[in-house]
Amino acid sequence: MGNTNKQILVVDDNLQNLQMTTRILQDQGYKVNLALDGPTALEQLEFYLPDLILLDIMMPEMDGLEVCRILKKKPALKEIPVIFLTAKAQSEDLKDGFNAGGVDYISKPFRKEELLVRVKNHIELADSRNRIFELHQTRAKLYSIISHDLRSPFAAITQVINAIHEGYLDTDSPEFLDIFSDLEKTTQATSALLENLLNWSSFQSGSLPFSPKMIDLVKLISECIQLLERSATNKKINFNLDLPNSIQCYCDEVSMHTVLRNLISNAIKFTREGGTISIHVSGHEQTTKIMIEDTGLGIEEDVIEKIFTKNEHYTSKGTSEEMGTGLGLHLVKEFIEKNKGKIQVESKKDVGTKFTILLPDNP
Amino acid sequence: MKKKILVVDDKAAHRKLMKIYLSKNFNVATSENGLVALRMLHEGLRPDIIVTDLLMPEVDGTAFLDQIKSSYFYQHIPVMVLSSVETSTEKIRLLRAGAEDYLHKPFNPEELEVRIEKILQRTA
Repeated sequence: MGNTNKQILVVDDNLQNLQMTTRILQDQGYKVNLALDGPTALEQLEFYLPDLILLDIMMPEMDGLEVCRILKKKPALKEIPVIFLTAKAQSEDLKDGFNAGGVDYISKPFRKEELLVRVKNHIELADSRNRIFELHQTRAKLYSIISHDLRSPFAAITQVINAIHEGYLDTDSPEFLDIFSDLEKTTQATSALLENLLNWSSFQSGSLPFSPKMIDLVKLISECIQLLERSATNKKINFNLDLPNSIQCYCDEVSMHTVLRNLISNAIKFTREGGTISIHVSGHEQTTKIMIEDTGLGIEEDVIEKIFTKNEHYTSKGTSEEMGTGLGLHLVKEFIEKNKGKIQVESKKDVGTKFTILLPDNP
Repeated sequence: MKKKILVVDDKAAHRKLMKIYLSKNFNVATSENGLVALRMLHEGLRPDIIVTDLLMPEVDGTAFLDQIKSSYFYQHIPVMVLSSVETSTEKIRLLRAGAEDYLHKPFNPEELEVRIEKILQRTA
């Protein structure tokens, strides 16, 4: 029925009306809460947030308009759509209702169909508004973090260049070599971030060419390893590869390259010197399984839940102070889903992390 | 005797450069985030001034500043923020929260030193 998780508060001083309205709504699968007067309704709203409120205007003590004005002043409640139930459908009253913050009205006696259509429309409208708002929040947060993550390395590079210029830093000194190697890491991390950022924004705008075809996953993985070999060698990390000669899989090459590159570079980042990264690929009935496992820092349980969710921005440093933006795993998840695959993560703190990707062999 | 500065920043290059800039006239201690810096304070380090970055893992600059300014033992230590974040709202927020000064990265090392000296004179 689709309405089962939607909750509606009905406020009416007439018990019979209340029962009738409740039955109509419950038949459609809505959860219904009731209040016989305004103060009771406001009290209930301290404890839960319904998706919509049906509010009778004519009530003794506190009328519906007053109730609506009060709840529109409360930040937690003001986004909940209010539909007035009114016996008097004169234009003056309607104006009062809309002024008080109502989104719509239904004149009594109402027809069942009318009630249901208006309720459904306004719940849907509020849902999409909330989704847009959340999306906007996520974006704003992400942009602010990305702008820092881009600005900060450039500031560091400029600072070092200036220090050389101004004679603070002798390019023959051991300090310089030390600082130089720090900067090299910063530069690598920043260029990886840029790569991800450009990928992500073209994915968001829909301009990323997505052309799935049969490709050899083993070849793709080998390419990614080659690309990252230097940073692994720097940390004396070994690759333990268990790959067939070739394995054909139906997916988009560019986005899967991004996925594998991010997961392998994460594994390098979070594995201590001398550690091991195992990559295992195997074909199963209709699916290909890719496992990337490291002997690294591991991820704490409460963080595992956060790393793939959009509203959380989680980032942490690697074992050699490598920087991260949290954008990588975000991309990984979106791209795997776009390729109709699945990703799982298992991790134990100080033991390691294992990412498992399942990709369908056929479109 | 040289005055003591505690530099808090997550970038190793920055910490090393700060030592090069400031060691001539100051004793420079460094730490990679607010948490490590707080630990150093608890263990008895008493800097005359703290210069901190903002966005760092574990305990960031804002939380670190709050901790310092709400602590009976440390609130007298002047804190200067040194960050690549350059919005006015951020600066206003941090100055309100008790930061003594704000300098934007990349910075001129002479300006940094002069500002530090001014703060030390003012808060002496």
